[in-house]
Amino acid sequence: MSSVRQTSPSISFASIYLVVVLTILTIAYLVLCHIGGFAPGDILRIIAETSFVAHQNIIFYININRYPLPSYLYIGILAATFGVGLLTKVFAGRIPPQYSDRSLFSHLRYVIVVMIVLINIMQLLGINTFWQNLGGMFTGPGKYENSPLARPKRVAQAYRDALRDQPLSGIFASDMNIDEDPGMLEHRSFAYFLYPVDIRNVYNQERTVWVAYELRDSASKVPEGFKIFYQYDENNLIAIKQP
Amino acid sequence: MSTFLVFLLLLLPLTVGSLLVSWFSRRNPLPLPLTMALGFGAGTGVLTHLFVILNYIELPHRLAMVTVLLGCLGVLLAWLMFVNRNDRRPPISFGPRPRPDIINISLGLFILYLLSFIFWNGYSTPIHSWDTLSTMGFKAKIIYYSQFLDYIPRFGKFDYPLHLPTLMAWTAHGSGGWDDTLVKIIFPLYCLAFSVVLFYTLRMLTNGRWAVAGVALLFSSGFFVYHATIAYRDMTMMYFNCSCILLILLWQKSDYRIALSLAALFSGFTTFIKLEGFGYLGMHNMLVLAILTFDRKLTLPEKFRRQLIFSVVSIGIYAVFAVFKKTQILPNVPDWRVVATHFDLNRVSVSLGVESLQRVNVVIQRYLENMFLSGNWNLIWALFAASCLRLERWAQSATLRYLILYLTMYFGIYLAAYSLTQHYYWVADKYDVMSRSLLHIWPLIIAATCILNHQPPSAPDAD
Repeated sequence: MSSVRQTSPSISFASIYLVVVLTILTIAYLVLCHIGGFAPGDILRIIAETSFVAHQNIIFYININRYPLPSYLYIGILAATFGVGLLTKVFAGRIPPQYSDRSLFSHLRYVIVVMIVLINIMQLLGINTFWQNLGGMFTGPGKYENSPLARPKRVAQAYRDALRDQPLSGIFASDMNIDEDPGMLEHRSFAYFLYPVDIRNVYNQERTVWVAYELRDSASKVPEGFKIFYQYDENNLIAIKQP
Repeated sequence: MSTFLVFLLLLLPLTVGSLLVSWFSRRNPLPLPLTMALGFGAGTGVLTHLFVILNYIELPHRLAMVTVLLGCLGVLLAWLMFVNRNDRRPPISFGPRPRPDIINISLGLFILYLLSFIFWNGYSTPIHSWDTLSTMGFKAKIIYYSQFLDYIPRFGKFDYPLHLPTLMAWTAHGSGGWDDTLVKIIFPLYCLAFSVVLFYTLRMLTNGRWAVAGVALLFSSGFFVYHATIAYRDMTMMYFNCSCILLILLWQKSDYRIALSLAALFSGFTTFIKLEGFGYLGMHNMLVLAILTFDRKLTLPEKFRRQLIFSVVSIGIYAVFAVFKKTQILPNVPDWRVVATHFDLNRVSVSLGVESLQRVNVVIQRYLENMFLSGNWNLIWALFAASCLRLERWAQSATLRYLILYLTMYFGIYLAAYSLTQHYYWVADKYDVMSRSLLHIWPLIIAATCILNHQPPSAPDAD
């Protein structure tokens, strides 16, 4: 029987253990806010808002006073680990042995799990914000209307419609610097949206279309031998090579 | 309607893959969810390899032909299953189901909430990430419109494996047209499939509680959740690489032989996702070799036979695209030797000396920053590090030791590659590659953490 009790601590004591850990973490949090001169509510709000700044290469947490957020989390973890370790030793004999006999490393693992749950709660709030922002950005029938890709998508779609999606090779002309962002991303996305009209020399055939994109006064720059076929606006047009 | 059509379409590789997995495990069937989770990867892997093979033949509608061939394969496998229907033993046991207590239900709700976010995001936002617009999505469009691979040599990163561009093109073809949103549907499905694989593997390696907790820990990473919603290769790479390792560990733990055959299949498919897949294939083979070397029960000829089967199957699958690349792609590249992005082992310049020691220091620092101070992984690396201090578990579990061996190989190779070659630039000056390469083994960290913290009911593991 005793072994069963040892591996299955009562829910009520587990709750007390959790409350103690959370209390120490809260105290550590308030102390850190006091030292840094921040209002606890403000920091909590900032953490929730910035806990899911999604990026395909790396997600950064915010820096508070030059140090990344996890540095403070580790301080809290250490404080809670030593605090709860000390309390279980002080109250040894009055609490179940599976708590009082626990090593400091064991407390450390439990405290980290509690912190992971807290970060998850923050992250869920961040995900909700991200969800709403993303939903607002990719809406409408074309999906890209409110996103930074709306312009290349619209122009490319108009060109494709004009050329009836023929697999033609084109010469790309623009005022943008396509070797550096933001021009590089805009060029790549424009090429993606424009395909099967090819401006990245995939077909390796004679280039029969001159594709102007964000080229000021493009009509005056049409190369010799080409004739304007379709004009989207002053800076965007396509010209076809004359036979 | 189109979304429904795409789901309907994806039932084909799912069914064929599930039949293939069922056929492999016909004597000791796996649970249906696990069969389907592995079947999705197997089916899509077969599909894209069929497309590569069809490129040797002059055909007008290769993507449609792939569908037909896949259908025929499905019928053949169903027939084989029917013929062998009396040759079945009881299904393999994965331990008791998790109890529906308050902790498991809470964790389950957390997982469901994030899965709903992933699926909503995956299915409502179109392609918008850099690599997809610039290379992978573009290649998929090239394949979709041309239905062959002849234009690949003319395009940047021509030597990259083509599993995902082909699968995206096939999805677009089957659903009746290119749709920037619908072609992304496969990515959340890989995420879901992998969650099921991890759940069942952890159930066998630990217990029901840790299986649920492990999947919840998987979804605790913001980076993982985000990658499940965008069209990048790394989530798929993680699915194939980690499924292979988990299957190898299942085989090691339970001597369930079919798991090794399936692992060989997945090891081969790993090479068709990203270039790194070839390195992982080598590491998978090394892991199997290590397990066989330290196994005391098997005879030497049996060990040799198992290693041979694993190597032949995994390298055989790798060879499908490797031969195609060597014979059909590289000879048609205008001058691939001068293309800066082309990965060629012969062009890796290794620098040794004092400077490289400083580089090792920088790379380790970058790893530590990424694992412990970024917002990618929650605090799971800290939990893993703290769990590693349970030294008695190292002594108890051979499975854990093999898992750690694989992770050591992984870090050793990446550390050397980043420190001693020109690829140092991508780690020291940029944030482009490290997080994504860590994603490839991220679930293994969780598996190791769960095994380390799980207290077996009896003394040392029998393994």
